[in-house]
Amino acid sequence: MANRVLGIELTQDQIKIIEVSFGRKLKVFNFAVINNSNVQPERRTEQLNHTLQVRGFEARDAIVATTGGHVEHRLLTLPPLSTREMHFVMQRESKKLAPTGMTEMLWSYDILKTKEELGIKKNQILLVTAERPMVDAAQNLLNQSKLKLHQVTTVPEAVLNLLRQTAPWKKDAVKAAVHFAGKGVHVLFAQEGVLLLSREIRFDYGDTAPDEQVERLVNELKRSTLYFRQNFPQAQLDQIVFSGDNDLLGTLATRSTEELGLNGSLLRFEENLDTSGFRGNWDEFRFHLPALAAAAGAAWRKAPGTTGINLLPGKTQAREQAGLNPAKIARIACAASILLVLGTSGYYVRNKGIADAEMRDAQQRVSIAGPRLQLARDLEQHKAVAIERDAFVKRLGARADWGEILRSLSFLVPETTYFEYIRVEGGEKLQMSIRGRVVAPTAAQANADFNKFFTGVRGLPFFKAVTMPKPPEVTFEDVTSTTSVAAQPRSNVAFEVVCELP
Amino acid sequence: MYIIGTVLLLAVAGGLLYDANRRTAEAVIAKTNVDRQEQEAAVVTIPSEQEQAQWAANEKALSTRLLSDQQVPEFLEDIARIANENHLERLGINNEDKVIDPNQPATPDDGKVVALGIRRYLLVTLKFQSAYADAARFLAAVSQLPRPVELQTIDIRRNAPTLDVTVTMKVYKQEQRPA
Repeated sequence: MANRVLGIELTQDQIKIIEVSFGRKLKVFNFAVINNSNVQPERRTEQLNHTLQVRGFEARDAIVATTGGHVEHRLLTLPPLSTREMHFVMQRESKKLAPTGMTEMLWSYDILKTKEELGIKKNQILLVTAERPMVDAAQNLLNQSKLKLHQVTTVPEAVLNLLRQTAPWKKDAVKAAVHFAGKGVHVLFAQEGVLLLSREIRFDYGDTAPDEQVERLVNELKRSTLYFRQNFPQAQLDQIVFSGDNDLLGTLATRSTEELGLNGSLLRFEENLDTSGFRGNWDEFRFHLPALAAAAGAAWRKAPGTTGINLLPGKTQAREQAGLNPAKIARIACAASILLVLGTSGYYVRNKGIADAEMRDAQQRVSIAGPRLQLARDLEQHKAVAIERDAFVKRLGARADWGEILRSLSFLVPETTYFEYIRVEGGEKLQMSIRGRVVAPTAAQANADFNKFFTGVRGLPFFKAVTMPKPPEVTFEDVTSTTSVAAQPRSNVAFEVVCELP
Repeated sequence: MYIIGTVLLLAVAGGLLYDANRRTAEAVIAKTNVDRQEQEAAVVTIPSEQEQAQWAANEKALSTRLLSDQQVPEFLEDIARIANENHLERLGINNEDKVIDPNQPATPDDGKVVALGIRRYLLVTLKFQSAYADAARFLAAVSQLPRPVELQTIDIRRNAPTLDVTVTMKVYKQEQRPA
């Protein structure tokens, strides 16, 4: 729910207060109209505090629409400018507006509308200048109360804001609004929510009769209308609305048709109010509603203090810099970093807890499986050594009965065959190589003898495998006989046999 | 101040994220490892105590079978005796003490022997002349000696009417005991 805000219209002899909150409609909670024309200025704060307490106002934030002193409103149409350029232009324009002799002046501006003229984007800006004492008076009044002052605007700007929020706007049509505030009358002309012209007319009613007052007011309105039409000849002025604290509002509205040629009416906006939270006398509120127009318009803001005219010293500049304030950015970044760290810390604590638990579980399981695996590894190593040892011991023993092997071979050797060389190689693989030669009168006999020998060796039970690394070499040679008989051919088979032992 | 604070906070957040992810990764690795170890432990078979006792006995038997330095002359005497019994001629015996470097074994066989804790052996070379049948009987007798003898090579060459035989063998020895 939005915070409650007090809209206060401050004039020299009256303080009008309305307590609202901003929603789809303006929700009204309370109101008060304080007449302090007979109260000494230094006791007005006391009177204000008393009223706030007695009437049960709950809001602490206040927006003041005030009048008095030299206040000027000027509509400027400018192309989009940077913040710095805008500040410079507004400062220059405000100096132009300030009357000669004004000692200290405050200014504020508000971009009311953006439109295009001949394809060029332009901003319609309302510039307001005011004497500092007027703003100081408002600050002094509220500083001594329990209220916090967020914004000081002018009565015309507040009325204009109310019209922007409540009244329908016909295209290009101009409305005149007349608001009575104490001894001043504010006449403003607005087109589609943009203030074209504003005049403040001082009026000392004195003991003048109502009819005479009406005459004087009508004359002033005629002059103002004429002045407006001279300045804005193309404008279609067709309506005039009256608001404020004057008993002649109805009469003026009636006479405006015949005297000014405009449709006159009272400013009504009760349809735009949400009265579900209202406390107080509804009839009394309706009676005072026209008088509360400026107070309601002052408070009717989505973001009090940052939208609309704010004449409080430094507030306009603060708003200008709001988007580009490095300190603010740094603060936001710092806050975001804190949130990030908090989030990260939560994530860290959660993940650390899970990871630590998993590590503990893993360590516990390792303490069970690890020793068993280590024992298995050690025993596996012992087993491997034992196997090696067995193999080694086997190599040390009598791996072969050499006597029997050589004896068996001697039985297999044919008469035509002799061994040139026998070599036994030990180690892991035990094998015997036999190189020899078969010499026979004929090739057939030599081959037959070799085959007989080879088959016989293969049949011995001592060998795992018997192979020939290369085929036997068969040659013939002529041998001269000692008896000088003709040379006879002899067959020669050279062989090598490899016998592998188990 | 806010900028410094922001930078510090971001650094802290980064550090926390890094550490959290590191811990998570470590936990995942540890879990994977322990799962694998448990699977290995479940299928592993531990040799029985009887089997282990058999290994120990074999180890002891081998160590007692190895030749001590004092037994070398006895071994050579056995060789000479067998040679005489088998009528070998021109017998020559050459023996050489060898030590295997455990870090750089000369052959793969040496490496396996070192793994069994044996580093020393006697390389014996025998050269002789004999008849075929005598040589056969001699070799059979030598290989049946109750010594840790491993025949390396036997070369038998024809040198009619006899044979020239060269035999190399390794006789494994015990470690030298300090005096």
